Amino acid sequence: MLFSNDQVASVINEQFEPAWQSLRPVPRVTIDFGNGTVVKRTLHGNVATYVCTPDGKVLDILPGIYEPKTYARELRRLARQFDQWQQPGFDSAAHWQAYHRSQTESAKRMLASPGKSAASGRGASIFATERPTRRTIRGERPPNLAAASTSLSDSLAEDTLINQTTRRRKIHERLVKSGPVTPDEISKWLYREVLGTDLDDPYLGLKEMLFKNYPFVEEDAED
Amino acid sequence: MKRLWFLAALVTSAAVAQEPAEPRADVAKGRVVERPTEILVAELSVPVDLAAETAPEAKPAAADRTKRAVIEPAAEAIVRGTQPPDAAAAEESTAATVADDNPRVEPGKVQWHDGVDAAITAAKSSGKPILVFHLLGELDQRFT
Repeated sequence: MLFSNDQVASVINEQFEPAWQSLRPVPRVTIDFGNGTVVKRTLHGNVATYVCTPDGKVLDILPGIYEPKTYARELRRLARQFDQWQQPGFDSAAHWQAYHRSQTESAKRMLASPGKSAASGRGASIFATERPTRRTIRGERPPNLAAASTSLSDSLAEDTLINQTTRRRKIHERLVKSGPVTPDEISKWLYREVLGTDLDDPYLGLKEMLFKNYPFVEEDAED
Repeated sequence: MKRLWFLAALVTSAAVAQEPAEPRADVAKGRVVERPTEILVAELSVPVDLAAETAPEAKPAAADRTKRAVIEPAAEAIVRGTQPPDAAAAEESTAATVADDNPRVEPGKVQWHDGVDAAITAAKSSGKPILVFHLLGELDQRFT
């Protein structure tokens, strides 16, 4: 979705060397209506964007899905940050610590005043799109369908705000402690602690949700 | 067999229960088994045009991998009954390559390198930073 946006694609193509990497297959939910009609959905399809140095060390991370304008703006800002760190005589190690500490404080301030945050876009997100599926698995009732369009549009702004505040604050705090790492070295922590998806768990942390209220567990196990 | 006993127990308990203030559908069975599925299909039918909302001048991508473009239209068709299952299947079959039941699609408009190592090699030459996008599933597949 993000990468079909002209603004986002332009920023990435002009200012970065991009690559994508699959961490594992995405969980899929299939509803077979029994009459030939089958509906398929994904679940827990979280994403993360790492901006790295040319040798592959993480400079910063954008966790989860973003509203395109905010995503493009953050990528431009990180590209400028990278350029600054490349200047001759620049103490990149010292600046690394200062940058992530200042960003931690910035995220805290943004969290304290969400009305002034960057989360002002509209659209649909992975989290918003999958929210009904998760709610369904939990057996919860949905919000009013008539209001769902507005709710869905606003969900991306909500996700962006959470990404920019709560999630990024955790990341900055972690990077201050860890120092430079590669995406592979931090991805499991990121998914588990920031995005709520344990990549080492075959159920990705959804087991309790799936089976807690399901009355046929034992019977299904016998099949 | 246990499943039948469970359903029978639900029916029995519903029959002997006091009449609620307002008529309610078979709450326990529905909430556990059927109602959530109905909700799922209905809720996922809400349309959103991200490209139009964020870049009104931009034309929609021809082969968008997004959830909006590849997932929600099918649900809309099913819910509204405007497109028979066969038509949906035919549309799906036009995807470039079908690996099991997850067709390949274009991964947006970004010019991706063929892996992180290739991006690192290019970055050492261009001096640009690297962007690594992690996901579950494959970016060039329909369900991701």
